[in-house]
Amino acid sequence: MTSAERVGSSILTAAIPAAMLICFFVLPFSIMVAVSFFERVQGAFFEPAFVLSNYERFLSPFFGSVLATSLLLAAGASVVSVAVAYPFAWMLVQFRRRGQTLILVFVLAVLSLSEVIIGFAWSSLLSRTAGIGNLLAFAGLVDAPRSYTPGLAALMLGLCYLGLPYAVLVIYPALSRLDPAIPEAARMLGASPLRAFLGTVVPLSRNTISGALILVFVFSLGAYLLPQLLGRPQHWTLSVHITDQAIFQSNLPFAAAMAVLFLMISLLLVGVSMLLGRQRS
Amino acid sequence: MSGLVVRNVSKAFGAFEALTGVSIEISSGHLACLLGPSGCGKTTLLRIVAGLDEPSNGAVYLDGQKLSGVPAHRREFGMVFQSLALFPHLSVAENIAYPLAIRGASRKTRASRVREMLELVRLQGLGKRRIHQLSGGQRQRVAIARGLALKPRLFLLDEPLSALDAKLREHMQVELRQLQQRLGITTILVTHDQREAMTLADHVIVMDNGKALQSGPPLEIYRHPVNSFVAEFIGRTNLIPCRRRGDRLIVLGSEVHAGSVADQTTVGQQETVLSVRPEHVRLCAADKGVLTGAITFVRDLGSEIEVSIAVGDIEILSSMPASSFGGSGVGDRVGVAIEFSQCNLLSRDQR
Ligand SMILES: Nc1ncnc2c1ncn2[C@@H]1O[C@H](COP(=O)(O)OP(=O)(O)OP(=O)(O)O)[C@@H](O)[C@H]1O
Ligand SMILES: [Mg+2]
Repeated sequence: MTSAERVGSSILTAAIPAAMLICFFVLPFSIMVAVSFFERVQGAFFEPAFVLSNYERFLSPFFGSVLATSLLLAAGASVVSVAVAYPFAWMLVQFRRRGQTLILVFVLAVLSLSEVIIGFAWSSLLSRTAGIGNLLAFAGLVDAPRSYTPGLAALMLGLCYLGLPYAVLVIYPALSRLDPAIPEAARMLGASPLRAFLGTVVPLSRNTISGALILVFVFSLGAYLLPQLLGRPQHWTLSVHITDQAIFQSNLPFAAAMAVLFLMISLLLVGVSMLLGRQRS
Repeated sequence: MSGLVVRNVSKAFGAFEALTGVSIEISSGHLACLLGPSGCGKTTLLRIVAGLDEPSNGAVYLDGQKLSGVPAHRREFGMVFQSLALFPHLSVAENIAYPLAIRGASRKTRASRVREMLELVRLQGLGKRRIHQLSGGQRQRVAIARGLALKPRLFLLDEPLSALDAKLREHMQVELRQLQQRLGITTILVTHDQREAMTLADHVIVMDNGKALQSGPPLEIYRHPVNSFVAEFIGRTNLIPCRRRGDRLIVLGSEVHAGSVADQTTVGQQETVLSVRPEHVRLCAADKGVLTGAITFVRDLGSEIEVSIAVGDIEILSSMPASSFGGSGVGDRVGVAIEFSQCNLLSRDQR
């Protein structure tokens, strides 16, 4: 291969991902940013312009509280998911190889279910007529079956169910790569098993934990079906409102403006948390 | 007895028996080496002594106290893992002070103990370093210092020196031995390097296939191995098949009088193996030796010369000081003289 050919082929290998990035990410995003400044036409769609009214409309107490709800819900879901996934992954690592694979396959199978299926499944499981309330009543734990949905708890449950496999997916490899002799060494030095775990395994996987938190957080921000299926209107997230504006109100410029703002705020939060993590380690 | 006693310990992983009825005794203050080929169960035994694994059968006693049911963190043993298992998120000083921090020692006690330990392993001034900023030998020392920080009742080391290059390893062996003798801590060291065992140990335990084959002082095992596996594993040896006829031996077709051979075989057994160390094989004129053969290889190591001689269809290795080598070359026919009083008759290895 001549050096000119080599340069040519390396340009080619760089060009393909770049082209894909431009085609599938930069271009659509630019269009969305452009649309967010367009003017809506009542009864029609929109026409090109440069107005800031879409962004101005967002600066209201109503959308402020929607934004706060979205962020809090996502943060809550990510904390709960990781809090469950972390000990779960640790126990998984202690299992035999074959058992580990089997359980992982089950956990990851959840990923193949769509948000729609998960939402409807939970809403019937939590309902009064067909749900686990009947089981509890049957077992004599409650007097009469009642519905647990819609509500904040039901919504959180759904979001965590969705986020958990992702958290396991991030945490499990890191824990299984950790030298099992490290917590054992702590035990030999006098630490009880729990103390050894908290003193070595947890601090050593801090980056993994923050990675899993960020992933589930970002992922939960995008959920727009679960809040409608399992939550009350006051739990509707920004994603729900964006969908609503774009599809049902046909106000694409406003939806685009909200999406752009939402993206910026999420990126900002993720960036800040990564920066904090870097500084501490 | 004071010291460590392992009584009839077995360990099964599912259907696989990693240890079968292992019994050993180590006097207090001694350094014992667990020696054996890879996969023979050394780590498994060490982990059972440490309390990290439970034996399927049998028990471990320290100074007469039965250790069953005492969890690892209450045994007050020091341990150096094969991977060292230093804490990468802590500094060298914090690693060494970890057992003291667990027990809530004051900052001052910790600092002075860390200083003392760093001095002991000759790493003064490196307390603030991170683990990844140390060389392999320095990490080794940190692991040893951490294991010794609380003056453990028993010190366990799992192939602690295997990752080091030959020169550093020999150096660390001597240091480790001096340190152990100075502190007088009962120590078990796992190794599969017989030279290391001979250098360090008061007591060697040879293991194979989950069993303790022989245990005793290194020279004792070297001189009187119980079977051909031990003879081959501890030092080098020529294993020459032979037959017994009355008080005479038939070695490769030559009948020799071998009344003084140390006999470790079962009486009545006719087919046996004669173990002859290379230093007990001498070359002589072709008609003078008990055997004759042709030289196939001469390895001149400077201070020492090793000669391989083909006798019949087996190869016999002889080693001698360079000064007593007569200067024969490859292809020469020579006589082979054997100092039978130094040799051992062993039962054939049934493996
Ligand atoms: N947790 C386990 N489950 C099943 N088998 C095991 C387990 N741990 C060890 N073994 C088996 O037990 C045998 C002894 O293992 P062990 O680790 O004690 O060997 P070793 O003598 O320390 O070897 P090496 O010198 O290679 O470290 C091996 O055959 C190993 O495969
Ligand atoms: Mg081992």
